[in-house]
Amino acid sequence: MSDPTILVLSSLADGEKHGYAIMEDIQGFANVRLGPGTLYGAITRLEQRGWIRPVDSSDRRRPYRITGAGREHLEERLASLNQVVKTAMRRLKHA
Amino acid sequence: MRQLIRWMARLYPAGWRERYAAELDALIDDIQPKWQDLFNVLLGALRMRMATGSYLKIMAFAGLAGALVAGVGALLTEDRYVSTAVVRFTFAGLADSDRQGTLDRLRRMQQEVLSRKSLGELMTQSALDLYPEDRKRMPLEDVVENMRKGLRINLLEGPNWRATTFEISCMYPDKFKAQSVVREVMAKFVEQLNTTQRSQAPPAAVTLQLLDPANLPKQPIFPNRLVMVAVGLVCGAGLGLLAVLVRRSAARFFKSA
Repeated sequence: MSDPTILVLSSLADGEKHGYAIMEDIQGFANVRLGPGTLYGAITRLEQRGWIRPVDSSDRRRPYRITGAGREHLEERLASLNQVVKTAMRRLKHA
Repeated sequence: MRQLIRWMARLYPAGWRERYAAELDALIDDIQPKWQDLFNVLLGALRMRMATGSYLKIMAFAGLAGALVAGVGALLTEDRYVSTAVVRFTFAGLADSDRQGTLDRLRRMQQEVLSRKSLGELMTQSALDLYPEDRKRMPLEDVVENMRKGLRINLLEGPNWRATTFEISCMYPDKFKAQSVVREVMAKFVEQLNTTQRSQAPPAAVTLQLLDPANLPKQPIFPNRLVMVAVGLVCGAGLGLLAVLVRRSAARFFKSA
């Protein structure tokens, strides 16, 4: 689970955050440190696809918010991932 | 480090910088920057250029990135100096029957000088203290093997019935120690020769003549930093072109599919 776009969407799922807050949050829940280039690469792609949008701010630290489409995409990807996890766990138990 | 990362961030395309540069700058202010962040931002800029730039610009940028990475690598690479001495063994007044035996003794002397015991002693001499870091983390056999790679005894002339000339050279990060090692190896040859001569009855008529004493190298022989940067530039430009061709072909394929 190291896809930066899914990590960023997961971070924004509980509310808006700016770049550094996203980075810290991901480090906390996934134990993955996204570099600045990777984080802003993911933010750029997510914004282009309409899955996140910037929140108006006069601060340099501009926060981002997940959109409805972004939430839908995240749910789809997590459901698919959940299916993989469940199958793998079941097989591990029976092995 | 922060300033270096900021310079690297200037490599992003102008359109991207207009939109995100202030935010990225704020992020760089907030984090505890590491070396990997520098390369991460460089890679991010490269990816962004590949997604948006022209072939020529991408090649120029990738070449610059390659040169930069090679430059950092070249700066981090340790200098290597080579000190060299030339020595001649002359055989005088030997009977034909003694000559082959003398040459064999010479070969045995060389083996003895390069033996694990001899090089191990040399390495741990307090005045030399060679490969101290390697000795802490590697078995002595491996360190001796590394030392042998940097220590060369090359035949320049012979072996024939009159004389044999050797070039002894040592490559080491410290030029003074490289010179000292060559001197010590020479001293070991003299010691071996004296031991051999004493044990012969009658003594073998072999003399050792120092043609060139161990020199103190002025310039490192390795790395050639200019060549490394040039190779980085060419490889970077080539890889950049290849990557953008693959990426755009794949994008066209998926679009048509």
